[in-house]
Amino acid sequence: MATRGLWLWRAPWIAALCLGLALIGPGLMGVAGAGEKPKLVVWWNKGYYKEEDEGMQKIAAEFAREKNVDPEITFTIQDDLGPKIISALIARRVPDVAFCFFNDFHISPKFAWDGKLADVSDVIAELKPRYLDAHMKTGWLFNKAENKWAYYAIPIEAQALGSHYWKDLVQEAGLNPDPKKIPMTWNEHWAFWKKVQDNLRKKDPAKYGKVYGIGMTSSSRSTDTIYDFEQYLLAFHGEVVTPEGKLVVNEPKNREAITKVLAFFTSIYKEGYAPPDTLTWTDADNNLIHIPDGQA
Amino acid sequence: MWTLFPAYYMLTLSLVPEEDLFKPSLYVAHPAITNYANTIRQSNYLVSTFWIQPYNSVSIALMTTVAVVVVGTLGSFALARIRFRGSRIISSMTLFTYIIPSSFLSIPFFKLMADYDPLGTKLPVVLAMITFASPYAVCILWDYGRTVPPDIDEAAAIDGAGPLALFFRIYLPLIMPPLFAIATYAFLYSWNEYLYAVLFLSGETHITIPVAMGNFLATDSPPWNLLMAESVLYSIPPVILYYCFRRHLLSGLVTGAVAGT
Repeated sequence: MATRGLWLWRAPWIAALCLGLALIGPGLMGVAGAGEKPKLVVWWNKGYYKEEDEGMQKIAAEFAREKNVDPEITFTIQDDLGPKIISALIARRVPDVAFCFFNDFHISPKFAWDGKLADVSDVIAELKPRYLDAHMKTGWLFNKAENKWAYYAIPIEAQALGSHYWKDLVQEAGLNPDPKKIPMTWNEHWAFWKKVQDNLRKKDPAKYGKVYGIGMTSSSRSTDTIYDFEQYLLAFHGEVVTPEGKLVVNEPKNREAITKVLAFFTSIYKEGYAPPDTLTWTDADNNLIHIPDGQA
Repeated sequence: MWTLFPAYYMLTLSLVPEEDLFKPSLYVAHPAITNYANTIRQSNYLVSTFWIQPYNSVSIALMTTVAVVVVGTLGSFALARIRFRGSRIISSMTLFTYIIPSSFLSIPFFKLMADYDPLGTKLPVVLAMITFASPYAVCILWDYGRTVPPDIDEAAAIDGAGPLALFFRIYLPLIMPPLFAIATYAFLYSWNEYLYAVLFLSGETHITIPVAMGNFLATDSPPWNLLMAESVLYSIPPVILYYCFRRHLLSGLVTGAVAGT
């Protein structure tokens, strides 16, 4: 009986040990096989759509053929990729290429300032004919350690802000959904979407009680909030930094503009024209809430 | 209700066909195993490396479990059975590491791993998990080890048993119930780890299941039913583990609940 008992408690351990050895052997060291080609480690922002990742993989495969390198691409969601890149920069163990939607304002300026990024002006010079001037500014950063301006990042992506709306909901609210009929002056434009919500709620509170007029991201974790803020600041004729890099946030004109933008931003939330969880939305959430069921 | 409903909803959503996804219901009108089939066949780009992820997760979890069991048993044996100066201070400091949230230590850990060069392997994740799971293991096993009467050690010593014999033939068999609980804890701790896996693992074929599941949330239109199917599959190994060791777990979890046990 004692021998049987001993065997019973040993059996799972022996099985676990065998399984462990089988898994640990190849798994512990060197997750990547050693190839003859030089390895190119790429950390890439996971796309919002499958086609983005596939496009990147296609480009990488073409580049690998052309340059005879072995690319290792890791697609990571942007909320995680930012900390991953920052950790790597602090530890000085960086990938060869890192692209993240947070780079241009969270990462590149700070680490360029600290002198931790490579000067990529030669790459930019080669690509210059393909750029618009406005795009170039993103990578033109100041290195405090060497006291010089240079390109420390390569702009590869640009965004334009736009509004999407459900035509059938606007029609349901008794308003004209034709894009040409939607007011395009500042106050009237936003009042239009508020009116859509008000009309829908009045018409059928049960059905439209959770439909909001404006799905504007207002969280500190998303890039959309920053992009929106920058655009709205232009609408209120304010600026934070001059094109020459001078901080002008304290000038009365700019202070007033910033105050107005913040008041505008918060009023939409406070008045209940944006979903309550916009304060915690990620960049994907405004799209998620809009696409499936037209909640905003 | 709070515990079972999310699991029930996960299961039902995993059986919902795509066309019924946004039709709220407490049951599945037309259950389908399409999502499981798609996951197993790796036929969606979000599950294109599905079969390699359990291997990564299991190997990390097993390595962590083995190491935590070794560290926990040896550490608790030293603290509970060997009298040396400072043993009480060391034993009371075992839980000190939990004062700092593990997420705060991610960047220092990354730097440490970069300095010692195991980045690019599973080793950094395993080492991080050992660091965070071991103190709890030592604490629990030490607490249990103290309840084993010292007379047994003395009797064994009279029969000529040295420290190694004491450890393997007396101490280890006696602490089996909490050891199973600790092994399960270490396995689940590393099985569910997300942050350190994101930071340390690179390459689509090297990530663990939680990281792969996190990738679903990047898209504008996540296939929720597919995510739930993967979640159900992901929860199978811990459930199997629980049922295999349930008897030991229950006795291990009540360790120290009654004085003198």
